[in-house]
Amino acid sequence: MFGSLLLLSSQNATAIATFNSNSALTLTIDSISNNTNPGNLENLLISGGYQFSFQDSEEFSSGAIQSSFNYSGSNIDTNASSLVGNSSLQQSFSAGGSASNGAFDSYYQAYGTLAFENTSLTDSYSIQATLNYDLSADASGDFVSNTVSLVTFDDFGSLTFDNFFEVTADTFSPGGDQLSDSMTYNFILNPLEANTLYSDVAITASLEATPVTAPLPAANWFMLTGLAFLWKRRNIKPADFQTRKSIH
Amino acid sequence: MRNMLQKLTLLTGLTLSLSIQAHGPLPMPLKNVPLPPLPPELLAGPDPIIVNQEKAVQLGKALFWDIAVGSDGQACASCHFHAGADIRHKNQLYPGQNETFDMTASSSTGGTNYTLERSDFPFHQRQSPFDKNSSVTFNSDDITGSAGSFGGQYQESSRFTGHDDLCNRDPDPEFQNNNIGTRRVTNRNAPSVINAVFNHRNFWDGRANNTFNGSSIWGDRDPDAGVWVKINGRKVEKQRLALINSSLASQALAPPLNDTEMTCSQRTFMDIGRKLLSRRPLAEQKVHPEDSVLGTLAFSSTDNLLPGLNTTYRDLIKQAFNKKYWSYTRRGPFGQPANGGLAYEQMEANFSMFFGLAIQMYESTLISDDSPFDNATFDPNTGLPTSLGASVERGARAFEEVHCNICHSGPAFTSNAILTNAQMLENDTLAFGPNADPTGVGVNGMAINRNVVNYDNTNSGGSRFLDTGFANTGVQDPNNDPGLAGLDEFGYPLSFADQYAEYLAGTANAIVDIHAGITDIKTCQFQSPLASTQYVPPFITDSGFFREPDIISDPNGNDNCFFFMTQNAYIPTQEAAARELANPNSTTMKFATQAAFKVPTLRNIELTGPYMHNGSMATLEEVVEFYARGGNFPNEFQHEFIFSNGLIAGQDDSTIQRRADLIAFLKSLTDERVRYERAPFDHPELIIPHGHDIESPNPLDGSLAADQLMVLPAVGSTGRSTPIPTFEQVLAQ
Repeated sequence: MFGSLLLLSSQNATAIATFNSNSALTLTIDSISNNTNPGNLENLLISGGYQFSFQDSEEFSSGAIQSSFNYSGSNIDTNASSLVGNSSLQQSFSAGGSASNGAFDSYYQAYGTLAFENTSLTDSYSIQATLNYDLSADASGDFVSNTVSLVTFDDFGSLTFDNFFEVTADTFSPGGDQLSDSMTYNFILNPLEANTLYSDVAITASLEATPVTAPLPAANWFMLTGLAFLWKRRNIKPADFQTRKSIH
Repeated sequence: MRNMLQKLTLLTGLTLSLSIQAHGPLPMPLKNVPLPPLPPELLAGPDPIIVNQEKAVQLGKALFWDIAVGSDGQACASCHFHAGADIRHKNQLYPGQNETFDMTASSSTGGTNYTLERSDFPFHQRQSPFDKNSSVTFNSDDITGSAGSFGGQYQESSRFTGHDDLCNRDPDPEFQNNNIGTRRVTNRNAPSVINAVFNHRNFWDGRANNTFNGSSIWGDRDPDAGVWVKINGRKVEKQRLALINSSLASQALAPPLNDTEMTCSQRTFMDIGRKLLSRRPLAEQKVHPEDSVLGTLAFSSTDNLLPGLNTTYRDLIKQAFNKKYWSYTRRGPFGQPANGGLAYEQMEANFSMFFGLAIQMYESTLISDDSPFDNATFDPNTGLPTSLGASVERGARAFEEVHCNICHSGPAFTSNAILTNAQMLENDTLAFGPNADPTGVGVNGMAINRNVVNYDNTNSGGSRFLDTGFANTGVQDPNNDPGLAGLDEFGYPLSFADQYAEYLAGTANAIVDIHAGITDIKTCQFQSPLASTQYVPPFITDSGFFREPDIISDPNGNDNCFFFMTQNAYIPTQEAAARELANPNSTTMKFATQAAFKVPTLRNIELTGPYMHNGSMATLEEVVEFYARGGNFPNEFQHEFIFSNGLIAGQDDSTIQRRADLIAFLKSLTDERVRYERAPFDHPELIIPHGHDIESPNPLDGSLAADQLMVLPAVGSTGRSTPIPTFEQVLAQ
């Protein structure tokens, strides 16, 4: 072990593992129509927003780690008659990190909900919404895995809106992955019915890195990193990022 | 039955020829034999568990051979690499019941890191090898098992590289050499995984449950078992899973969590999943470009063998399994590693299910149905092979005459293939020979029988309950290893027979294996009557049985009765059963499960030595001698067909020839594809620990001995150029 430490002290290069993830969502209410009393949108309530979850997110690290993330998400809370033109929720979520020595595990969770409530006793509404999404994951270095996942579903259990998308970048596909597309969903709310559209994003990343020295036998190399595995949970604070709330 | 035949001889006054004593199902080829039916929800229907069977098989083969699965270089294949079994002969001894390594038969000290020699076998020797009453000249309760893990306490493992886990390691007090730790050795011989798909249950004691629950080996017995199913993006539920005829999946979950076989202690399947998911499969092991399953994923070319597959375990799981088992992105309900770290994700939480089912899918392809016996022509009148040469043909006849066929029955050569053997008769009433009586009557009667419990005669203990496909043959002291009579980790008996008896007695919650079919048992199909309305000749049973008024009709009916004896379609009343179960001197409610072990297949037996659950016999000759003398340790649980058999016990020319013929027949069951490791028996490279250099430290820890390694080269679908050796040949090297 002492001999190995001497090797470390003579190093002049490090192996760095990095990841970058991005997610951009726009959920647009394309159209709302009253099937019973055309033009009357007063009894349809709409609320929702995109929100980062501190409670459900985690980071664990050991060694020399740098990480950062940015999040912004918008909210809506109104009745449909107040919505003019294209009404949408937007989310922008990015995370990145690097490790030059040690290991890093992270999981970030953001939630998106758009709830429709028909308070009318007689009227039904037809609603169309479109979700545009742009997911990307990038990674570099020897030992890295980075995933961005998007899950959509609604209370009605619609197969159209029940989707799972994922982009991955890792040691074996470091060039990254990207997915941009959209989905349009139509549904009808009968009197006193409610439906919520969910669009949740999760970013997961794992990094392992060690200083580059003269080549070590694999077993010894792992012993060094193994000793570095003293997991420390990094507390994610609201002050660490920016959240923007607005009504569009 | 032996008593029956003897008494029949006396009654009739006739001298029965030895050939007439032969009876029961004839050996049959394995070609086109039905597999035990899988549950429909596994592969079929609108929402199957496995959505791509090919990918599941690829995943299973990779996991089976990958040394990264274990904590210190052990793969499943490390103990199942040679014709599906283990042929290593250094550091393979377990000290046995007396917890002390015995001197070997060759007068060596044995013990850890010992290299077995031919003269160390068999572990039980008599003055006269064919006379069980002759004096014992040598006996060791040591076991030829399989070297596994160093053990230790699990701490952490990399997600990306290095096959060893980080563990706190110390020399094992039992497996050490001058306080230098050696790899631990299992307490039973590794059976072959080839054709194991036909076994109703697996492990020697049957504890690998026929029903797979997704997270443990215990089937319906485990109250905490279940798999996590995504309901929607924000809701996941733990649901019970019960996949019948999936014992291979159950079995696969045990060794990776066993700190003798493969792992450091306190490692979970979620930890294994975390270790493997981001990795390339077989990252340190070369894969042949013509591997029959993995070749399309290999990086290798014909003249350049390279390690690893061009995918990750995560991707294979996503391709193979329904996304409701892995696409839930939230964390929290699945728990967290004991030593800290990120909460588990759904794919890690369900990794045990993916692992078990993938291994099962792969092992289900390992069927050796292309032996000379399988390709033989058969006499339509006798049902015996006619194209394998005179010695093999005589051996096939001897196989029946000596009653090997009673336990080693059916095309898989084991009565443990309960469903396959029954299915064959449903498809063809003469499936087991032209003389088989389709009505089920008579000694050659082969009625369709799905009973998982039998009531049969023992040598000296009368009629007793015993699980179908298991037998006590008297290999060792029955107190050394309880076998089927053991208990699971919840305190329940492993055997179906115990559950059935308690069920008859009206014990609440008696049945823990609720999908095993224990309540469907037909008593009139028992070899001995349990309950009867009429007189039963003493040559049928010399044991007691329930009579009126202690009996009621068997609610499961009276079809396909053994010997057409519908008068035996009765069960005891609950009161009578409970009374006898509590009676230590009962002649009816008794069990033959103590030291009973699963009847192994005889296919490829030439290649899968050493033999028996304790690996105490090195050659087929020693095995035949064992049966000829009627076992090593006569006991009350021993099956009635284990007796001194004059047909093969003796030193006259004809008896010697008959033993040789029997062995020749057994060797005709060797599939040449197994011998030459041709597809589907081809495989990736495997680096196997085979003993130690005690003088050198192991990189894992200075208190452990360095491994000596045996490298099994990667083999493609066309196999190897030289045959794999027998255990006897290895000992002679």
